[in-house]
Amino acid sequence: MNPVATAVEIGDPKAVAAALGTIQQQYRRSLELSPDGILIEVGGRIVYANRALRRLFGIAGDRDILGTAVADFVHPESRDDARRRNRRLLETGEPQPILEGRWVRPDGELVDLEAAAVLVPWEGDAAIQIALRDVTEGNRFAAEARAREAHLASILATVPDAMIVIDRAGLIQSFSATAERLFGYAAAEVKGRNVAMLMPSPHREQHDGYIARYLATGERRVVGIGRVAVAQRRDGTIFPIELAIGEVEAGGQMLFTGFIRDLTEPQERERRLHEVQSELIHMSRLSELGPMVSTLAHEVNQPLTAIQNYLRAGYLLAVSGELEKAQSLFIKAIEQSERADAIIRRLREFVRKGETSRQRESLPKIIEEASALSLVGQKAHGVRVAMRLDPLAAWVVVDKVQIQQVLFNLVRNAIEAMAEWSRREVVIAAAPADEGMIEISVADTGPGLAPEVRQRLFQPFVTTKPAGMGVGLSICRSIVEAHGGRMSARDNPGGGTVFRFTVPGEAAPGWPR
Amino acid sequence: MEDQAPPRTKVFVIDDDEAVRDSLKVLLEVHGLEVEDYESTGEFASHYRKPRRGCLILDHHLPMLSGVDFLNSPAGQRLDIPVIVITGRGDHGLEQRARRAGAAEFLHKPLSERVLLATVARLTAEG
Repeated sequence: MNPVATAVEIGDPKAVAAALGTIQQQYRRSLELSPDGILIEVGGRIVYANRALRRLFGIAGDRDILGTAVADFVHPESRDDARRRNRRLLETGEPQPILEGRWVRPDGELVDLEAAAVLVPWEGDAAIQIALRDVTEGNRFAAEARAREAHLASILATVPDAMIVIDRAGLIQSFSATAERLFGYAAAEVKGRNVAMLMPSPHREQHDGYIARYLATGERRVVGIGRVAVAQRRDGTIFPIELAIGEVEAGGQMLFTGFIRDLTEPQERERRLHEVQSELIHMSRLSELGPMVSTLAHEVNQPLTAIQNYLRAGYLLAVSGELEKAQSLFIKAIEQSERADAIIRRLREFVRKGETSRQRESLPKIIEEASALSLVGQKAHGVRVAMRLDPLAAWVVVDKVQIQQVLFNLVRNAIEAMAEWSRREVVIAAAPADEGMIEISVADTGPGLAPEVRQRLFQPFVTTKPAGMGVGLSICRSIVEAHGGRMSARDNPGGGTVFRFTVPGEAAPGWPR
Repeated sequence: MEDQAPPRTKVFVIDDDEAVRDSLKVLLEVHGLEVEDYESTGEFASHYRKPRRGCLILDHHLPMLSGVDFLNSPAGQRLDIPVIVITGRGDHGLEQRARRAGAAEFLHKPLSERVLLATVARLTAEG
């Protein structure tokens, strides 16, 4: 009943056997060379495995798997499928569709394999030949993609950031629930409206221009970079935000997605407390002392360290009677104190001459950035900040960082002065002044200045703050004067204080054009 | 003066500021410590031999390779004595970076004599 017995009846048994042997050898050789892994099973046990299969199963050397049950290598979750496929194959004799399943290699590693099965004769038995191909890699990519998607979805569901999507015309396409809460608008109210409505002046008027410029030039100022900015709520209050913008082209349409993090939000503050606080402390310390004072501190620390060491060592030597040695150390200490003196003199000179990097800068940008930073933190909660910037005062020629420190100081001072008051408003204004100068003012609605404080306001070490060093305003004035400007403080007619200072505008004399 | 019997503690000092370096050496020597001072980490590394008992006082602000960068370098990682990093600047996060790089202590300039000597004594105590 088997094929071999039938053949024997037809012709010369020896010749037939020889011919069959040759065919079988050739068949085996072709199996051996197949790039797919091939195994042949009879009664569920492996009777043949080609080279590619050994590779696929990670079988090294001549360790054999012949005689072992195929089922041992099929992962339990795929065993039913394999059994069903084999039964159908044996019943119908038809090749079965490719079956993807999970296999377990002898070394225990899991692999996803595609299996095609056909019925073949094998040494007188009906055998199942299975061709196997590794699809683990492909599956891994698919699984990774799925995981990434799920990860992204989970991030979007949990980020505290407000998300706003706009099109290239600046019109709002989507407005997240967090955005609704943050700005006080319902999504339905703002969809289709210009996103500029969420910004204070001058951005409100200029935002369309920002998009147009970006689309025309590709020059990135915010997209993909992120920055600290200010936003405006429905009730008109301005608040500091951290803004990150991504762009995407979907279905031929350019969309911008803005992630907005409220820097005044208590919960957010909780989370970023450490980060922002240390940033702030660093910033405020820097700005209170001013950049040159920070440099000075370091430079003076070196001779100061040496002076202390020399004097201590000299003292100990003098006490134990080694006067000559002590004397030489005292001389060295004197030299070091002269060195410290020279450093301070040089820095004073530096400030007077103002050898700083002055450039033509956008005043609204300077004010914006400095005030956004000074609004960070708990003290600024509930403070209304308004800006009145004359378009004719848009450009100044200054050292940006220094002027931002002046502004930061003044706005911080204003906020601190109003801490105990119910009406807390800061108005930052800029307008052209005489001789090409630009006047910038910071007005608060606090208690105003006591006369004895005002007299000495700009002198170093005068402070009304319990924790202040009292150098902030004197540094501010040095910076302003180094720019050729003046600084003053007056009463705010409606209550509070107005600090004013001037800096050169682009039309000021001495600015090369 | 009573503690002269055991081998003297050796303190290595690396600071590019000549006055700081010299004054530190003088002060530590007055207190009975043996001091070897170097201007750079490179100079130190090429002369270094492990003392019986000792520590390194390392300035962070060096012109070529900063103190913390040196500690993170292979030569710094091989160091088998405790290191005190000193700085004259209130650098943000520097202490954390220095400690992560293996510094045992972190001190600001100007150095307090009392704290410095106590730190050296503690770090070089036989343990």
